[in-house]
Amino acid sequence: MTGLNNVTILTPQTSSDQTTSILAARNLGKEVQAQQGIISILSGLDLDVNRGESVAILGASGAGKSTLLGLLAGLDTITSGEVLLNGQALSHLDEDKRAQVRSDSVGFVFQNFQLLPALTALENAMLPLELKGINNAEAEALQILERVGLASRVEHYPRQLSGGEQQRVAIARAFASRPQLLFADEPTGNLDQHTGEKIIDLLFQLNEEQHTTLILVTHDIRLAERCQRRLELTDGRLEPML
Amino acid sequence: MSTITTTRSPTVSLALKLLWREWRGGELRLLLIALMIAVTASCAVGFFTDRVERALVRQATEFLGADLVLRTSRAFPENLRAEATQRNLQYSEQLVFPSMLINGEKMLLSSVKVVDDHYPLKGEVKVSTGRDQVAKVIKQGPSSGELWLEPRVLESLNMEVGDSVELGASVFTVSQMLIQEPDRGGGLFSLQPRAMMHQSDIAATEVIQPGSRIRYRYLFNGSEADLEPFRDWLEERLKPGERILDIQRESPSLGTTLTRAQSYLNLSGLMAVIMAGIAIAMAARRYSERHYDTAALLRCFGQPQRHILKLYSLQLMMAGTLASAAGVGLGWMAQYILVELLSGLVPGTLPGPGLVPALVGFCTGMLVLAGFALPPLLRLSDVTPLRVLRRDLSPLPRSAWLVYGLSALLILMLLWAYSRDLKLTLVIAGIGSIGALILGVLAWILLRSLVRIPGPLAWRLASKNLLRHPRDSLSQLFAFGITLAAMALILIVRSDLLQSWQEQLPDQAPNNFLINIQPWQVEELEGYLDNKQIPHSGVYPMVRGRLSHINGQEAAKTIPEQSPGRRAISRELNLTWSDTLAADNRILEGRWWQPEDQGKPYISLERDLARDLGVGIGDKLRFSFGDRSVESEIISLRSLDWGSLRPNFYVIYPPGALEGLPANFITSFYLPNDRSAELNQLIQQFPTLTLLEVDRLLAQIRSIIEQVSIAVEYVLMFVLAAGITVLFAALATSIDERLQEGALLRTLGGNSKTLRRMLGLEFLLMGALAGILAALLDEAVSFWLYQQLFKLEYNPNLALWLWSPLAGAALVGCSGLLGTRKVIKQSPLKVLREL
Ligand SMILES: Nc1ncnc2c1ncn2[C@@H]1O[C@H](COP(=O)(O)OP(=O)(O)O)[C@@H](O)[C@H]1O
Ligand SMILES: [Mg+2]
Repeated sequence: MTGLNNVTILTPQTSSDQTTSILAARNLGKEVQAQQGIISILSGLDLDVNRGESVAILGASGAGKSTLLGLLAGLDTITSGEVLLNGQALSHLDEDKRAQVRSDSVGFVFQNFQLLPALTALENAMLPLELKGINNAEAEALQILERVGLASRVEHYPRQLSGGEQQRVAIARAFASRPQLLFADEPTGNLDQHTGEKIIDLLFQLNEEQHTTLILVTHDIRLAERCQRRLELTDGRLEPML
Repeated sequence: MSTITTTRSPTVSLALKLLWREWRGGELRLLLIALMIAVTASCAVGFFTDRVERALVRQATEFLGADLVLRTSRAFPENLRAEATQRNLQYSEQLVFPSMLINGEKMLLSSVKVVDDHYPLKGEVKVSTGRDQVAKVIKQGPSSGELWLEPRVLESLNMEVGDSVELGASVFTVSQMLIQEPDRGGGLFSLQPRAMMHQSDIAATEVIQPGSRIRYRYLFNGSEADLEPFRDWLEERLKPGERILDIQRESPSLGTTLTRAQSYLNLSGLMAVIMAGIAIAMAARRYSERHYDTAALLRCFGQPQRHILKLYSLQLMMAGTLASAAGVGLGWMAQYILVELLSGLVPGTLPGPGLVPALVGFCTGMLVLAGFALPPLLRLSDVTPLRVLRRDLSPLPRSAWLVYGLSALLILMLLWAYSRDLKLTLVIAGIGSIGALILGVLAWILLRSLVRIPGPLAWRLASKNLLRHPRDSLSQLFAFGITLAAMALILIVRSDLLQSWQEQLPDQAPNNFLINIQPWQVEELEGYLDNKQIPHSGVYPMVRGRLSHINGQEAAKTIPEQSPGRRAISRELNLTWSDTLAADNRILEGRWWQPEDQGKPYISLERDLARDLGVGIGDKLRFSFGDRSVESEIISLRSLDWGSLRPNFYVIYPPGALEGLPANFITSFYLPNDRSAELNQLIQQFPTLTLLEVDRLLAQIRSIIEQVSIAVEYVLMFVLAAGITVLFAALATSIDERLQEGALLRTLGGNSKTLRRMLGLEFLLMGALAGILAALLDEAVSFWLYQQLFKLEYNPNLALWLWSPLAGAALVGCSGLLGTRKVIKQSPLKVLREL
């Protein structure tokens, strides 16, 4: 079941789309300017993700997984094609509008955690809520930090936390704003196996609790197994894995 | 393949190859550009100030007539011509004496200058053959048989060029009109209308008789190296009443102007170097931090510490050589453009650019690089190879005292080389390090308290950011603070200096002196001047007296031979009495006369003379006036402004104290040029008075001041440019972190408005804090500078405390936002990927 088979032509912001497909890519292409000339990383890529689904994206290093994730989340500009996030065509939005979309419906977890070193665990987790302008940011953030098991470390700075703890703060930060979509780029890549498993458990638990749609980039086959769908990125396109 | 491989020490060519890669990769660009700007700025300042300085010295020595002048009232016994020739010095001699010029009924007292074939040693003479003729510039004086007269002499005597005039026992035909002579200096009282003649005619005039008032001037030109021992040789042979003159001592107002200008230019050079150093230190730190990984990798590959050290030092040295050379070239061009721009304003021609500033600029570049860039680079060799596995392992600073001590020493040397003033260097270094300590603590407290202030998200993020790496924030704060302080200091000093120069020569500075006023003429003269509405400085009595005893001891025995006070006791001083204090005089200690002091033997003494004589309030000075002497008690010390061109006196008595002593009076007044016809009426009314016109002296001083002012303005621009460089270098040091943070915030949904607000606030805060530090620093430094270096009155600058934080906030805020545009513009994915 590739994306192509599922969907007819989508027009932005129809109510039927919003109920079925939360994220779609149409004939997506990305080229970058390098010293040797223009390289094409993605081309003619299609994807459809339904609400509440969990999708794993696998692929060799350098295949373009991070690039794809960035385009899907509106972190980078599209060369050709279109990405529809919640029915919104991202290529028509400027950077501030895309930020608005992210703020409303997207969460992130990175391989290298990406916490702000100047802020405590609590402040890091509060950040997306504050950027959204939510009033009881602190209470919400505390609650979710408790949920990830860091109630006693809320006043600690990232440098005072272990890798696993930092990633848990990052997960708390991602879920704090109750996003409809969560992107995770190799979330266990920097962690040992044991810690990695715990992080995965946490991700899927929260996924269930909040009915979040999960897009996961990983090398880890066991992590991929837990997703409902597995896609492989090769030659700039996505193919279903059996 | 051998089983044991030893790593080779890095070679120059390897370092060069790596250097090229670094440059291509953009890693070294910031550091090298900072260095190049530093050398360019300091070179341009160096070249330009060197040229202007040499022009000023040249003009000033022209004013004096030679590099060194010996002035005596009797012919010098030794054969100075032979001595000078043997010592490789140019030599010329002059006699100056007052004499009457007579044309039939008309007579005029003039100052006759007798010159030899070598006149003038410096500068040029301007002459013409008639009032309507074009003036000629020549480099010689009158030949045997010629007499040259100033236009006003011709006018007063009703003569033309070609007419005959009597001088003593001779009759001369006037062959030229003397428009301008270069060496017009030598004090106000030499400014009687000039007549000039040749040495060979002097005997025939028979004016030189025993007891004639003749001044001998012996002039010497040569290199400082030749002059120095000669000055010593002369000094050993000086008798009372004989003086050696050089530019610094000759004309007080010219001397201080020149000294202050030099101090200012040097100060500017110094500031440019300090700021450049800061920029380089910041760039080097960033470079070094970005190379921890490379260094760790090299260590992993088996390079020993010292190889890494050598590799990076080699790279640094080569980069420094290239950048410094480029900077010298650019600086050389910059000063040409500068001089070109100024060609209409800079009077006369500047001497060509010297080699010394190029050398100094180059060495400055290398030294600044070593002093400021070495410490952070040394840390590279301390990177543990374990860092390849654990990135958070940053090297600890190695024995910090040693490293920073070394660079502090280098910096001190540089400061010294630039200021040419050890005291200035030590004071700046001292104030700098003590100030840095205090300010550091202060800034830290300020930063901490900022975080406690609640506010919107942007505010909290901004203040937290400042606190995150306290050492980084503090060092940026210092960089901004010192830069702002340097710029503000140069600005403040500039306007105060210009103002003091303007005040020194107010538009209505007296341009005429009247001397030889007899006591019975005073009232009539004052009435006349008031009636004609000619404002004057007051009519002062003048009594000539010799200081004979200090506190009962013979003055000649208490004041040592070599001391400066000797000058005051080896000649007669002009004393006066007055019941009011002149406007340019200030009582520093003691008190001015009360009515009951009338007639008491009290004196008010000028402070420099008091210092030279080693006396103060309550000490007693005995002055002898012919056969009478007066034991006088010092009851006040005064400062006065010799540059004001008013009659000024070292010693003032209360009225009545010098009753019965022979006195004549002196006054000065200002008369605009278009009223100069009234001078003739004045002279007809009071034929026995001697009138001295000092317009020309004033014009000469004014032109020097204008020239200096222009130089000051332009040097200021270089300092400001150097300051802006620091701002951007400092910004660049933190750009990586800011990019990361900005990308992350945007990933989390922050929009550009929030980001801009956060960055803006951070820089505004930083700028305002730096402005406060700058104000503090400036008050401390300028307090000392004004008192010691510029000898100007110091007033705390309250406005500074307001505009320094404001200007800091505006400057750092704007350049900060400008320098971090990328944070808002760049694709967040690109940034996150590059980490
Ligand atoms: N801005 C860029 N400039 C040059 N090459 C890029 C750029 N972005 C991505 N690439 C290249 O595209 C390829 C895909 O990168 P990436 O998406 O990070 O791969 P993955 O995450 O699957 O390992 C890599 O070969 C990378 O070097
Ligand atoms: Mg990747």
